[in-house]
This record gives sequence, C-alpha cells and structure tokens, in this order.
Amino acid sequence: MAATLEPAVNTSLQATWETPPGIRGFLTSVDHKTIGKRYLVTAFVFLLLGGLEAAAMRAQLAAANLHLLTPEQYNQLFTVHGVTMIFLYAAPILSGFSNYLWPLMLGSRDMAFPRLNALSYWLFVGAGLFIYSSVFNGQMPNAGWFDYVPYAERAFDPGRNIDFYALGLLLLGISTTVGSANFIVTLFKTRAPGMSLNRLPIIVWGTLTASIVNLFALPSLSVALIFLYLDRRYGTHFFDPTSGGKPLLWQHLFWIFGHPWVYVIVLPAMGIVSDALPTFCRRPLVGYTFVALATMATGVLGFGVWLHHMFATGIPPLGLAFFGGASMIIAIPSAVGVFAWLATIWYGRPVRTTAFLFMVGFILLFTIGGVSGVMTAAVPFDWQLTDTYFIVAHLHYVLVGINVFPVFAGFYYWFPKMTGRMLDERLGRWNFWTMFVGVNVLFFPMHWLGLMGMPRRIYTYDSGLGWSTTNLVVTIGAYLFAIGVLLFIINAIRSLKHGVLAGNNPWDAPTLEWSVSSPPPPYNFATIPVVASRHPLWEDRLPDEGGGHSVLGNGPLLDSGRETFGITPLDAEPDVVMKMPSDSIWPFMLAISLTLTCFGLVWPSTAWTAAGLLIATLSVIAWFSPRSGARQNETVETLFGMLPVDGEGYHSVAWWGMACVIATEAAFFAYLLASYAYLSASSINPWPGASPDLRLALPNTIILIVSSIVLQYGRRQGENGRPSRLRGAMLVTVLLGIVFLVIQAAEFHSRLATVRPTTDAYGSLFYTITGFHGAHVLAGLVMLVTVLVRGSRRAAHGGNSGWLAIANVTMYWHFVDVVWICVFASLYVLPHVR
Amino acid sequence: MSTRNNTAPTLGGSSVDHPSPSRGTVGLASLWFGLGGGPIAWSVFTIAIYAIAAQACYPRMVPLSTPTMGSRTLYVSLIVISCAAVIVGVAAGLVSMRNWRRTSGEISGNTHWALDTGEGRTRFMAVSSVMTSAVFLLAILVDVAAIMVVKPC
Repeated sequence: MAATLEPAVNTSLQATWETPPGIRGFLTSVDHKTIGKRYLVTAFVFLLLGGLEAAAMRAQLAAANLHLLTPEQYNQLFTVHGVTMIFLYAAPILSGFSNYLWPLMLGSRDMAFPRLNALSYWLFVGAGLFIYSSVFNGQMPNAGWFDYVPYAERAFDPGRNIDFYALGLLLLGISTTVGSANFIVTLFKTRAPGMSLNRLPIIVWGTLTASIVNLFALPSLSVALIFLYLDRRYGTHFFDPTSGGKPLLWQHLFWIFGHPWVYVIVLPAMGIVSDALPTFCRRPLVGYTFVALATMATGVLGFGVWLHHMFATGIPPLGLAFFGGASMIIAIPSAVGVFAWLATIWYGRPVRTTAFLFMVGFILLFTIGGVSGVMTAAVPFDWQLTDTYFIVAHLHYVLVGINVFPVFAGFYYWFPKMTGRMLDERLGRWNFWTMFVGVNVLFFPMHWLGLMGMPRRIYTYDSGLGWSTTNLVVTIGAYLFAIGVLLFIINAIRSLKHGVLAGNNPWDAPTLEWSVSSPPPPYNFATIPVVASRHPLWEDRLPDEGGGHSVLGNGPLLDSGRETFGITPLDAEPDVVMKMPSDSIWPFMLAISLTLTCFGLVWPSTAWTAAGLLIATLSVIAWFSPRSGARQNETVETLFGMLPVDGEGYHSVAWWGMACVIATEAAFFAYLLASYAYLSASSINPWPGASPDLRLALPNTIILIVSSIVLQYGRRQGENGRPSRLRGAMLVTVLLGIVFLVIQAAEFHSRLATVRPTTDAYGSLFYTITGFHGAHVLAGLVMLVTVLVRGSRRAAHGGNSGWLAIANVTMYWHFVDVVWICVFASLYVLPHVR
Repeated sequence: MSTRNNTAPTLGGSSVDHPSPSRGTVGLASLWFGLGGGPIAWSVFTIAIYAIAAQACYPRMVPLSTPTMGSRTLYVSLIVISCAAVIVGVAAGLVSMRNWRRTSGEISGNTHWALDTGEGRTRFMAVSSVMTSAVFLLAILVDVAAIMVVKPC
C-alpha cells in the first residue's frame, strides 16, 4: 500500500519536526522518541545504581557477623535501593518504552502534550538527582521504601534523610501525574483514524491502565508525604497519637497508593510481552479481548487489596476476610494473561530469539511470584511470614520477573527500531541464561530463609541460626545476575556500532511502528495511516480480521506546520486537526526551578525556596503565552471532510487534559477528607472540641455556589454569541472568588485564637484541607483572569478565539465549588449533627 | 473467514470500513453501564462494608469483642449493602449479555471464537463487559460469603 512521496515533502516534514542539534536541542526537544530514549537510559542508570546498592548489601549478608557496612549505612542502602528500583527505575523505564512507542504504534506524529512530556522527563531527572544528592551529606533516606511512621517522624529520625524522601517523591509524583495525563489524552485523542478501541496494542492497554491508576492512587501518596513533611518541619500532628493523630493513617495512605503502584510497574511490562510474543510465535495473541480486559480489571481490583499489607496491624476479622478475598480474586485476571501467553506459544510456531527467551523466563517467574502472592493473601500464612525474607523473595520475583525480564525482552525487540541495528543474539543468549539462573539462585532460596524465620532489613545475623550457607548462595546468585546485566550493557554498546542493520521490520512484526524506517524520522509518518485492523502489517495473512486494508504511506499528509489528527475516543474518527507545539526551553526551566524549590525546603532556605517558586511562576507564564501563528477558528479540508483546527470543548485536547487534572485533584481531596473521617472516627475525645462557627462559612458557601451559577450563565451567553455578557459574568465570578478568599482569611484569623495547625490533629487537618481548597480557588481565579485578559485583547482586534478556553476554566471552577461543598459538609456541618 | 461488505459504511472519505458498524444497535449508556456497573458496585461495596465493619469492631484505640451496634444490626446492615451490590452487579451482567447478543455479528468473521477475534468496537465493549461483570460479581460474592461465615470482631 505504500506510495512514494515527493522528496520535497519529506524534506519539508523533516525541517518542521526536527530538533536542532547541540545543547539547545538537548534542552528544548519535545520529540517523544528523544524523550522516550532519555527515559530508558536514565532509568537504566538508576537500575545500575540500585543494583550496586543491592550488591553491597549482599556482600554484607554473605556470611554471618560481617561488618562491611554499619547498621546506619545498611539502613540507608536498603531504603535507597527500594526507592530507586520502585520509583526511579521500574515505572520510568516503562514510561520510556511507552513514550517512544505510543505515537509510533498509534499512528500519530507525537504525544498529545509534547511539552508536558518534556516536563515529565526533566522532573523525573530532578527528583532522582534530588534524592541522590542526599548522599553528599550522608543523610540518604533510611526508614525503608515505605517509610513507616513513627520511625520516620522527626523525634526518631532527626536528620534530613526523610525530608529528601518526602520532597523527592512529591516531585516525582508531579512528573508521573503529568505523564499519566499525557498518556490518557494521547490515547483518547491522537490515534490514527480507524484505530478503534478494539485495535489497540496491549502495551497501550497496560500503560493506559497504569496511567488511570496513577491519577487516582498517586494523590494518596502525595497526601501522606505532605502530612509527613508538615509533621516533621512544622510540628503538625497527623501521625502523632498523643494529639489525635494515628500512625496507621500513614500505612493506609501509603498502601492505597502502594499496591496499585505494583500494577503500574507490571501492567505495561506485561503489555510488552503481549505485543512482542505473538511476533515470535507467528500468530496473533490468543484471547486479545480477555487480556485487554484483564489488564483493566487488574487495575481496578488493585485498589481493593491495600489492606493485605496491613494484615498484622490489628484489623478486625471481617476486614481481613474482605481484603484476603480480594487479594485472591486478583489472581484471576493475572492468570488470564498467563494462559493467553501459553496458548499463543502452544498454537504458534515459536522463533527462539533472545527476546522470546526473556518472555518465556518472565512467564515462569511471574507464575512463581504470583503463587507466593496468593499464599500471602491467606491471612494466617501472612501473619507467620510478614516482614520475613519470604516477602522479600515474593516481591522480587514479582518485580524482577514481571518488570525486568519483559523490559529486557523489550530492549531486544525494539532496540533495532530505536537504533537501526540488531543486538547480538549469541551474546544475548548468554545474557538471558546468566540473568535467568542468577535471579533464581538469588531469590528462590530467600523463600527458605523466610520460612526459617530470617527477618527482612537486618544488617547481619548470628552464625548459629543456620542461615549462613543459604545466604552465601543468595549472594552468589546476586553477582551472577549482575554479570548478566553487564553482558547486556556490553551487547548494547557493541551493537550500537557493529550490529547488523535492521531495516524497517526485522522481526516481520504486525504493528504500525514497524512500517516506518529504523530509526524513524522525526515526523514518524510522512502520511497519517488509516487503520483497518488490529495487525495492519499482517492483513494479507489474516483475511478474517478487520474491515478493508489499512492505508499506509499514501494517507492524509497534514504538512502545514506541526499537525496531526485529533479523533473521537471510541472509533477514532478524525474530528479536529491538531496544531502541535514546537520545542521549548520552559519545561526544562520549570523542572529545574521546582527542584530548586525542593532544595530550598529541605535545607531549609527561604531565599532558595522563593527563588525557585519565582522562576517556576515565570516559566509557566512564558510556557502558556499565546503561540504565534495559531490558527484557531479555522477549518481545514481533509480526507475526512472539513475539520476545525485544534477545536474546542470536548473536541480539544485541552478539555481532556483539564478532565485529567480534575480527576486527580478530586482524588487528592477525597484522601484529605478520608483522613479527616478516619482520625475523627478513631478519636477518643470529641472532635472538634467545639462545633465550628457557621456565620462566615455558610455565606461563603453561598457566594461560591452563586459564582458557579453566574459563570455557567456567562458561558452559555458566550456560546450564543454574546461575549460582552460572558465578560461581565467572568468579572462577577472573579469578584465573588476574591470575596470568598477574603472571608476565609478572616475566618482563619478568628479561629487561630483557639485552634492552630499545631494544636492537635484536628487543627492540622482543618487548616490543611481548607488551605489547599483556598489555593485551588486562587488557581481558578488566575485561570479566569488569564482568559478574561486574553479574550478581551483578542476581541479588541475583532477575534473571539481568546474565549475558547472558557469551557475548561468553567469546568475547573465548578469542580472547586463541588469540593468546597464536600469540605463544608464534612468540616462544618457534620460536627453539628453528630 | 470474513468477507468485506461492499456496502459497509466507510471511515470518512477513506477506503477503510467503519470500525463499529453496529454502534447504532446498542446505546453508549448501556455499554458503559455494562462495563462499569460491576467495578463501581464492587468498589463502593468494599469501601462501605470495610468502613462499617472496622468502625463497629474497632471504634477507638481498643478492639472490641462484639460490635458497637450489636451483631444483628451489623449483620443486617452489611447484608442490605451486599444485596444492593449484587443487584447492580447482576444487572450489569444481564445488560452486557444482551449487548453481546445484539452485536455478535458486528463484523463477519470468527465471531463465535471469542478467544481469537473480537472485531467491531461495539462488540469488543460488549464482550469485555460480560467478563468484567462476571469477575466483579464473583468478587462481591466472595465478600458476601465472608459476611456469612466470619465472626465480625
């Protein structure tokens, strides 16, 4: 189906999409392929760092009573090892694959928000450097990767160790959240025409599920980290049982995030296998629909199993039964994947490449890790083995088996696409077998150590306990595994220069990324593909699939600047032509300034913090200043009829982006209010001591509701061609918002005389919740004023494109109102009716 | 083996068939209810029964041997919530089955081979919702069984 385009078209596209060379291009590139490769390399470096930490720990534990490390050094090493592997390697490496592959697999020119993509990467780098910078003052995080309080409270851990942990992970959380929103909007808005939901590669389902999970799970961690930082630095009492707080609140918040996160770092990796395995089995994946659905179901069920990390904390029996049951049910969708992969191999004609070996290794390790997971879902079994090496063995089988092995399979599979050269297969087999034998020698005996009663996180042990020989074997396995990783590095470096040239499709694979050159051009596709089936490159051999033949190479051109199609979410019918942003320095500047802010907070230094926030504010203003040459309100003639440029409301990517922001912010407030309900319900004393005064809060509630009604009225008037009424309504809304903030400030002033944030847990929660809500009102006001100014300016020049963002801002303002109603009901009204 | 229907609607001005020719057969609300009914019912149900059971048995700092509201009241509360969840889960399952029947021939081919080909976006959503409903109904029933047999405190 491919047709040859005029060379001038390719040259023009190349000039439009290419990132300039040198340091400027390095700092400003928004090309998803560049960002994807950077993610992969950076996350791999963190894997090596985490591996070195593990190697040091295994040397310490190789024999009884060794003292290569001090207890404090060991504490810091196991903590940073966990933080590195779970937060800085496992998720970012998958973001790397997804960033690189998504637009290529989906038939698009880039991600929906290319600059946000760059911001996500630079924030990840900033967070990693920030956490690792703690090594220079010898105060790396030291309370374990899940950082339980009260160990992590200032009274027991007075250094800056935990501050680096809390602020670093908050920064990384921003990176992951914006990255997740980008993936979600990219999926729903920028696929190739015809790529309906049933035609997505499975890795896309995996990353989509992980991204949705992130939007709802990460706010729980953010809330926990903010509470922890405030407790440590400003003397609040969220986790302090002597003042109405509760240490178990940390565990709930952490694991509500933590268990879904497990699926965040395995589902996209399972997607790698689901997409690559069929290529080497020469047949489509067995049970595509089952696997796609199982992926999503796992993501949902993952939210209902957090309590199995807390079985030993005194949960009532029914609670144990509910969460034990859910933890077993979640094995069903996981098993669906295993059976689908086995059936694909069974019914296929396997080609035993290194990638294939890594995938088979993954299936074996996943099964072992999965079975030990079901075992620990049984409450009595968990009680016996919690905090022993059995758990260490289980989690490493899961994380190494389901993340590292598919990642290496992914490297062998897509390295040719990324570099244009094949990895060496002979060295690859050595690489696989060394890693596979190493991982089993390393982790399988740990089950035995756990059953023998060896606790996790001890820095040494006595010689008479019978653990010495097994520990030595484990250490040998660790170093064997490390040799395997080293072989891969050698292979990659050698193959970059001397590998066999790959060509477009060296594996005869079915998906769109293999239809373009290796490596792909900056614009990905000279013409946008129109997709007719799930396997566009296998249509000749799968005649019973799809509707017609995919159009590759001679589809729609879209070459008037950086353009791609925006589509309808379900059926991928083009509904807009999207103008994509060019390279920009501002994502980098914003990331640097936020990292600087974190340093200011940890030292602490008001000057550094203020400087960081100032640069961040300026970067945001520069980022969002109107693009020159934007052609809003225009339409373009395409193969799919006349389409608007960029579009508005539901059709625009900005609307979808705002929807993602609201979803994750809603979750953030839900966790804040749930924390309030939890501490309130378990408080011994009446909470609050005196019922809150409604004389200011009630009128304030009415003011905010009225402002929403006024804005909604104005928006309708704007849609009906009356921009002056819209402008008036926005002005009234801004005034009402300011009045709300002034009244709230007055209420704070009067309440501070009786309750302060440091008085007790109630005070801490009251001011945190209402304060965050106030900050959101302020953010809404800034958005309203921005649209008001921009709309008025453009209206003065005879245009009305400045009002297009009003739909998004209205949605945000309504959200802020709904949150306040929930806050008002929980914090002000309920204490009166108890 | 599918045969392309020359009269099938196409995607815009392209030669590619529309990916969901049966999209007018079942409503989007019905598809989304089938897909989301089970998971939402299970999520709300799990949070509700856990919160009630935990608060009844561990209201403050010390665990109790009998629920604060009495065993009978706790049991009845949990069963009422369970019934609501089961009803929503079953309804989602039934709606999904109906949607699947209506869209099973969306794009001709191995439509009886649910394991292999699931062509047609509408059919894909319908088949997915049947499976979702089954998994989450099972998850609800496991919790109902726990309510029946496990001592609350």
